[in-house]
Amino acid sequence: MREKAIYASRSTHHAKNMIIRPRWKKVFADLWGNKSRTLLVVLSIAIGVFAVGMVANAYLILAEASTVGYETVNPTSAFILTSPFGDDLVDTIRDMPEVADAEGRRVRSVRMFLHGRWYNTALSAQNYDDGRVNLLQSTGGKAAPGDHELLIDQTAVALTDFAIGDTAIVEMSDGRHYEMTIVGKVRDQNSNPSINTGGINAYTTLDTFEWLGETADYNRLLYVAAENKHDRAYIQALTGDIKDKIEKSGYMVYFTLVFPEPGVSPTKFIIQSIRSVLGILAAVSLALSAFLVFNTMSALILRQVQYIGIMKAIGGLTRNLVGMYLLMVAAFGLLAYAVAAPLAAVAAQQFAEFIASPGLLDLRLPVYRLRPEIMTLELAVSLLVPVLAALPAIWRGTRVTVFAALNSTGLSQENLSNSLLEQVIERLRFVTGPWLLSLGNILRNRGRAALTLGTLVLGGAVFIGVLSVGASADETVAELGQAYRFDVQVEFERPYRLTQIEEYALHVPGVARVEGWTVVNGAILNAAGEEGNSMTILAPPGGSELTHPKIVAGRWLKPDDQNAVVIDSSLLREDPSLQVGDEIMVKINGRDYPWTIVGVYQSIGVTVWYESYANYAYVSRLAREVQQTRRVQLVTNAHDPASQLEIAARVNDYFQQVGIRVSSVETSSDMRGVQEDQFNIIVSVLLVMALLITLVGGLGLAGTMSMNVLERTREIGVMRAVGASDGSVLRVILVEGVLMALISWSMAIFLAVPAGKLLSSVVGNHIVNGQLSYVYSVPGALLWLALVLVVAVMASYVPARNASRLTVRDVLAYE
Amino acid sequence: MPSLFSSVQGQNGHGRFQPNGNQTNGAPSNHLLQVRQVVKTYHSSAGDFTALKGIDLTVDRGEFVAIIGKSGCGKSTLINMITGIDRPTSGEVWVNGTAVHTLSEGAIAQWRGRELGVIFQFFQLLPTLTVMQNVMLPMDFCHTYPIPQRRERAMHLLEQVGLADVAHKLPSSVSGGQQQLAAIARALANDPPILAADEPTGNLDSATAEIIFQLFNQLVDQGKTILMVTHDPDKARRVTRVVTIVDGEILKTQPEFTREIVR
Repeated sequence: MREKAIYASRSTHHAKNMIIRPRWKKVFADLWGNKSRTLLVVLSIAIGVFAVGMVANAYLILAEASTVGYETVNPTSAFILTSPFGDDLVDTIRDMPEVADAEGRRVRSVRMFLHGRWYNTALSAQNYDDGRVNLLQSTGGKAAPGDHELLIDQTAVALTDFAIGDTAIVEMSDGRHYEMTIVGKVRDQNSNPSINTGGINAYTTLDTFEWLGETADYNRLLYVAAENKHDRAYIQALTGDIKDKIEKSGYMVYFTLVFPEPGVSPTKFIIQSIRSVLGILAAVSLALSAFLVFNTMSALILRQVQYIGIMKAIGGLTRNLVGMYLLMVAAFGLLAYAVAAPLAAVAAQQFAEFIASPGLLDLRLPVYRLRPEIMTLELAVSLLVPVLAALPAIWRGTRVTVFAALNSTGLSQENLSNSLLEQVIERLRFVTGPWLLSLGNILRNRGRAALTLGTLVLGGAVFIGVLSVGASADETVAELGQAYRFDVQVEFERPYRLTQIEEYALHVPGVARVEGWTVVNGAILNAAGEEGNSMTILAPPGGSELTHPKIVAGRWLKPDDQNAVVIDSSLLREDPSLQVGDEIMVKINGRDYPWTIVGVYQSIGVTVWYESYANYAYVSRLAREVQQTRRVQLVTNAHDPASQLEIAARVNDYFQQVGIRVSSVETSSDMRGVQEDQFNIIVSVLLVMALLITLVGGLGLAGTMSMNVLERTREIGVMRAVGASDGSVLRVILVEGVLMALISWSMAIFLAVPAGKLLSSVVGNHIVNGQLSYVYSVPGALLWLALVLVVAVMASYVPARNASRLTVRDVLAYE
Repeated sequence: MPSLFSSVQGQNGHGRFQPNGNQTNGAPSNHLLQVRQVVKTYHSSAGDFTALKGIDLTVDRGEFVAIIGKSGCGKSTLINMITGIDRPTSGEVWVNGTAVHTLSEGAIAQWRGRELGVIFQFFQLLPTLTVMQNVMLPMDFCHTYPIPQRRERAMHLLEQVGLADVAHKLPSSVSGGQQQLAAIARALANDPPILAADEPTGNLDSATAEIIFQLFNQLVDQGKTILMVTHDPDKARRVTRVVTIVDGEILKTQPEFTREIVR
């Protein structure tokens, strides 16, 4: 009674200290007491959380920018190119009940000289005071240009470092030059960005067009449907109605274009490809993270077996212990969350800003905010992944009997059968002591070794796979570049006589050969005879050697082909039912023509201008442009980019001098450069991926080596007791790390093949509408070998050095 | 005289351990502890090894029993059978009416936490908990004593073993003797009627060992029953009964006289 009273009187005094019970104190003391281990586990979990958080966060930011952000500019559902019209027609269309809004624009191809180079430029004019559709967003300088002034689409930074206040020279097709001042930068989410075209989008006033010698009328009608804004069939039908109305009003309709996904940002496909690639990264990182956590927790529990025995000896139940270790894991998870979530948010924002920068996708990012769904996802990953990964180890460890636990020597619990180990050692008689010991250590703890190898092999395979995607992209770009076997391409405003153009072109110094093509625009008709996707037919002469697009199905054109057409692979994305051998109807200049698809060539990116190839002889006949040309390909004497540019300028000048109206001049180097740029974004993403994988693999090896050494402290003591020098101990552990790295590398180089093909396929589907030409990256394999060896030595050195410093007395008292 | 180490002599406020009621039925006798025909055989790749060969032993309340014998004779194995740390290959172990050999691993842990205090040669304190927290841990696991009282009880036990000053230190900061005293306080945490100690002084100097031994004597005076494995003949002469094991068999049981002589 007296003692009970004592307890009661003291209990209030110590009430504050009673909040945490000893078992939970043990959990936190273990966390705090072994900081390096805690750091390792937390980092292992954090990598997975970081990867998932960053990917999900970045995707949501970019997706929001390309959806919500895109809707704010009131994107056009379709557009129609017509003969010149004024505000009255715009008002007529605007008054249609099915139309929410409409706007007229004048768009014209010009050339612009900026910072020492000529660029093909889409110059447009609109009513800036009453902008309604495809709104421009001012990002610097004036929001609306005055007379003789220009706004520039800021994606042009991908080509040239222009600044507000710069003077640009605009060259019209008749060769006249006009000086204009750049007064502002804009974001135009509906223009084709410079990185895709190699050209510039510029904006001025209708009055300036008059000054440039044009009329102050519109030639392009943009409109937004009042309802079903995302329904392509509806928009197509509406476009038909609007076209009828325009024609009834006395205007000519040249071309209609309904977007494949009306109301959806053209950047969507790139964001989806980023999501696919980053999604793989997140999945791999998460798997590696789970491997690491499993490994670490197995080692941790093994180290705790003795204490588990003690706790069981004094009344601890298995469920108590499971609860304690699960709490420990949850605490690791929460710490990892605290580390990874803010870093993931920052990294995602940085990554999104990079992708959304004017040189790439040029998106306006939403204002930064915490996203509860991402925080919840990260928290769930932080808690669930480690708990699931640790559960087997906890389950096994806490079910050990007190007897087994207290009789544990602290040596590895998972041994090879003696006979197997003996066999291996017998066969390796030629291997000397330290190497044999290192190999034996790897073989002895097969589970641990397998998981560590798994981590390194997966990391290595993805690393080499990622670099293989880079190599495959290079190869694919080189193959696609075969479409441009010429040096300079000149496009004219109207058809010219071929012999005349050949004569003029060959007159220019440096031009060795001329080939005349023609180009016609048409629309593919659907089964009901309605106009669907637009199709531009490029027509080189039969047997042309200046273009060889990469054929992915069927064949290339034969010289005697008539109505045979080789279509763009991106058209298959739009209409997957199209096949080689199919007959399609195409409306050209008001008449319907049947075409047979004989092949499919690989194109790059997503476009609404589907380009197909057919023979010049047939196309020029049906276009009534026999012996005429709209585009010539020139072969020059020198083929380097500088020479190509110089000769292109000379050709342009000469054509203007003799009165030929040129609408654009491009060099094949620039055209190939544009193709390479298409891969820039995805290659950047892949590099981030390779970096993270290296980090995870290194951390995995470092952790495993540290744990292995820690577990074998007693063995090291024994080695030292029988005469092992500091150097010998160091060597055994370093060799073990190096062996592990070599074994993992020899497996990773094979697994890298399917990994690389999978990644190439994901990237290919999004970027080149098909497969990349797969190339295995041998430099990638060698680089990974170097990296994994460096990581192995670094990861092993610290624990090895620590182990070599221990005295026999220290070590044998360790347990 | 009130006990120094328990609130209610020989009880922890929860009565006899009854995990499912069956184990207390059919107790073969009124002895506090009875070991009947216990055989323990270990199997290994080197062959089978029988550590205990049909041991019979009874211990009554208040006895201080020393189990002695040479290294490897089976004395630790026997104490492991009694504490439920290991299981007999055949035979029965009854402790305070509980058939220990029939309990599941989980039930044994709970039973041991309440009914039996275990003391190890190497102390086996949890290194990341303070001395006080180590003593509180069994109460925490077995839910004995209201939460606010556990700290008081732990401090009280530590005061009794002379460790109040080091209550908040980690085990690594105190001497081996102090660690063993803390381990005894921990064994007493749930006020079990029996203490089982495996070489409790084997790792201590003679002066510290003497302190531990005197503490055991005080506990026996207060009604605790102690089983102690030792290979120290001096210590063995000062207990109420000595059980000598040779090659897994009890060679002889000396009667209760040595302790009286010492006193």
